[in-house]
Amino acid sequence: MNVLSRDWLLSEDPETRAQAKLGQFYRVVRALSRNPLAMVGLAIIIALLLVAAFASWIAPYSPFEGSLQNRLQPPSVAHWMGTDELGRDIYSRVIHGARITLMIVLLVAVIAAPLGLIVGAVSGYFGGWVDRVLMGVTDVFLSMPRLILALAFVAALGPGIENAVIAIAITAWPVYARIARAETLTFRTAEFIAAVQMQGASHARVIWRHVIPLCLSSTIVRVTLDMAGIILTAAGLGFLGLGAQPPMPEWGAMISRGRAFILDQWWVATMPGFAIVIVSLGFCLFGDGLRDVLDPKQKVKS
Amino acid sequence: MIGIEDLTVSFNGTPVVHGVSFQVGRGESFALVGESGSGKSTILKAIAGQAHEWTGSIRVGGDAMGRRRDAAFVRRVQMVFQDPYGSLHPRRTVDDTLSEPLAVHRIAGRDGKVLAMLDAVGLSRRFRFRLPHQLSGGQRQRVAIARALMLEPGVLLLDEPTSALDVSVQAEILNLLADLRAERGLTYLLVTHDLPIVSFLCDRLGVLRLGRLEEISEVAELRTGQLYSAYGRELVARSAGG
Repeated sequence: MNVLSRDWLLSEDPETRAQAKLGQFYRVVRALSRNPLAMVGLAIIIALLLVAAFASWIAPYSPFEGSLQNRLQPPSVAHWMGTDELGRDIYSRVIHGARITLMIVLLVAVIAAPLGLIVGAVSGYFGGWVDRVLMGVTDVFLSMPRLILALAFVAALGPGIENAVIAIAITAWPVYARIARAETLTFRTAEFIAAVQMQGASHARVIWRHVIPLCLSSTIVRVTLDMAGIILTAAGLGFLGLGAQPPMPEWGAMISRGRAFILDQWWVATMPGFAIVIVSLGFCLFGDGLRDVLDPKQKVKS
Repeated sequence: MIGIEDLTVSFNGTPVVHGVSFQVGRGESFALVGESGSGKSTILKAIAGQAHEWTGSIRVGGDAMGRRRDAAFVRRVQMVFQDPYGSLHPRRTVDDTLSEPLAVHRIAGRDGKVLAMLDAVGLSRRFRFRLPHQLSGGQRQRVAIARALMLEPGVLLLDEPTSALDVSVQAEILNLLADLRAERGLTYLLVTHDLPIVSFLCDRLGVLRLGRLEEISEVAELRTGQLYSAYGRELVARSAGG
């Protein structure tokens, strides 16, 4: 058997469930790999993952300790990105900051996306007063600017990285709820939903197994596109001193510290800024590519 | 098998079916015919439990139906929908679709039952793991019929099962429905506006007009053009005229 060959994966007549699932997955991957920009985004995300995983080995210096004789050194062979006002190596701090950024992004995605998805799917599926109550709550959250709302939550919960994550997650879910609801409404009255109800499936089963899988791809796309915004919000909170606390090498907090020296020692604020821009760009490009591949409306056209 | 007494169905307070009564015997095939808007699909929806605003009585196998349909009901009555493009979940394979009712009712031996059902509706086993977009309209409708039969119901509600299909495929599906009924002793309640289908597949028919039952006749009377209501004869004339 030529297991895992191209023909086997692309077979129109798969013989097992596993082959059918792998075949679908392979089609998505193949379509995605034909999009060069998405591949650039993916490369950046993979690089971020690797840097975060191996930060301790890659970073040449400690992110927390420096010598004051070395303070505010310009970029050189010894310190690729220079040193900050406490003589710490900025390159090492940026590398360790990747962990914090990744943690924030993943935690927010894990909290906000499922919450929004479930609220939206339930709201769209049941309609009526359930819809009105849930969407009313969603609208309240949506009506306030994201960073301001996050600021208010952090101010209430107290500064710190965990509270920043919670605050960002609380402000991020309503968008997913809206998307999932809109998506659910498009097929709420479809006959395949009526058919599965007719077979005696419970509401929970219909929502979980039939409604949510159809909302999933648009939510995944939206989450990837939002990653950049989440990174920026986290950096914004860090910049305002409400996110990660010193001496944690969070990129936004680093920019905030470097602001004092921006005219004479530009690298202190610029280097973490580059990191934020590149990682945000990576998520944006990858999300864009994913949308082209996964968006059901695009699929219908092709 | 199905007994409808004085059934009135409303949508948002507006009645669309007025005091309809008819009986369908066990193993019988009964057609509801009429133009679009005559309320024929609405009656089917009320029986299936998808339209909730109704008064009168609906009995299935002698049991009066309430507003909710229980597990026993869905194992006795299943439905085939009009549009095979809309009645299959776009992201689920044929296997998923056919296994779902077995999973819901915790019935064992899924693999064997799915394969047997594919054979019964004349679908090749190699279609088992295909997605709906990889199937033709006729194949999709076979999947929809197979899904309806997975729970081995005695009654099938057929909502214009062939009207969305190409003419050449319609005959195949009608033959399949006729064969399945003969093999399994199924009771059909068919909704259609297509009189030739009625004379092929059904024993009796009820003619609906603006939500009221105009007449109930034998199919033999339809074939010989002897419907007694003026409206029934008008439908026949229009059907013959194309």
